[in-house]
Amino acid sequence: MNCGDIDKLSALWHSGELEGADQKAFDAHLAACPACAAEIREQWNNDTRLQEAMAEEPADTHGVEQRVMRQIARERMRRWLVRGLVPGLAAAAAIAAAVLYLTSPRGTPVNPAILADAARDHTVEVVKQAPRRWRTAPADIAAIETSQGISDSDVKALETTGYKLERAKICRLGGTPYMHLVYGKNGREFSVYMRVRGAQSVRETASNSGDLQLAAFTRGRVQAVIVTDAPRGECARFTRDAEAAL
Amino acid sequence: MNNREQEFDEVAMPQARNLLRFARRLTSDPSAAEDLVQETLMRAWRGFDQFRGGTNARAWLFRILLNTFYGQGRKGRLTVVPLGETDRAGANGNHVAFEITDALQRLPADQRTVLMLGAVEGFTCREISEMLHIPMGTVMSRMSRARQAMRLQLDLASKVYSQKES
Repeated sequence: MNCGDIDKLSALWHSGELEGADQKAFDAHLAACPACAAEIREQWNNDTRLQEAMAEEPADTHGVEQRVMRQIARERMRRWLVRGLVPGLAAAAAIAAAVLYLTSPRGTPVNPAILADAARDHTVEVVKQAPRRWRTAPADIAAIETSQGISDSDVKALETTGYKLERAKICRLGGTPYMHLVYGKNGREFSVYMRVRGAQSVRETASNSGDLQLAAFTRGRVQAVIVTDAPRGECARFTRDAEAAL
Repeated sequence: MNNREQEFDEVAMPQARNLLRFARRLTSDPSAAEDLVQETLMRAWRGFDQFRGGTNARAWLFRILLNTFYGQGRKGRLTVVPLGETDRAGANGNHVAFEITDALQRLPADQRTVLMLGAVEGFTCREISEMLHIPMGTVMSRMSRARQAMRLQLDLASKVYSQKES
């Protein structure tokens, strides 16, 4: 190893990265070469002086640390908002929107006269079983459907509620013709007054009149008014299932 | 505060002083150095998930600082830092500290950077090579030239000081 090699490898020697044979050869050269030894020794001393001078140099980090901690706090809050609160708020907003949609008035309100007529009609014709000209034969019922423009599939779809179609006839609610369908199960009967809706949908309605439960909804092209003397929960289930079936 | 954030506080924040001291040699003014350190620590905080525990946190932080500095388009614009007399002379205001820091400031920027990283911060040539994205041989040669230049500067300063004293 010559003086040029010492100059070349001195950085590795200072950092302790010189190893094995190179380390031995380097040290051997320093032992034999006073000039290189003095140079390396002086470099070592200067490094030490530089380290000491830098260590003494004032470096107040309080301000920086405070700013960093404040910024971290802000970013932590931002992360929390993005990862936690925002999805939570979005979900809450979605739920609120859904609730608002479901509970907000849609379409036109059902004419009270129609509900009153439906309640009276159901009481007289179904509960009190006043003699009426009911149609029970499928062909006859189909004829009524045709005359009213109602799809047979819609009528049959309501049987997916678990209640069977028992009879049907035409009646008038608020002066408007409706197909009055009676669905029953285990002696419990539901009157479904069905018609093809006009330009306007009726507002989804649920109310009661005495012992009767009433509901109204529009689904697709069908408008339905439901009346029953069944309990409120059973009426709600039937209405929900009927609406889903149409 | 979760465990990871607590680990950041324990690993990174104690390095603020070393980072600031180094940043002051890189930037043109102390406030710019503080900004650089702040940005470095924030980048480290954001990327702390990538830091592997047990590895050299100092090297990781200095690498971020240098990347941040050079990423700001500052490469090649390293200037002599106009530090105050107190800063350059050290807390004790002694002439030795003044001479050594003055000599450091007179070095070319590339030599000053490797000397600070190697002689002051104690990084190996390999680590400096990775930090600065330059070949190991370049680090070695810059380091060697920096030490020789420092010696010449200090010899000259010593002679001037001796003449003044006499």
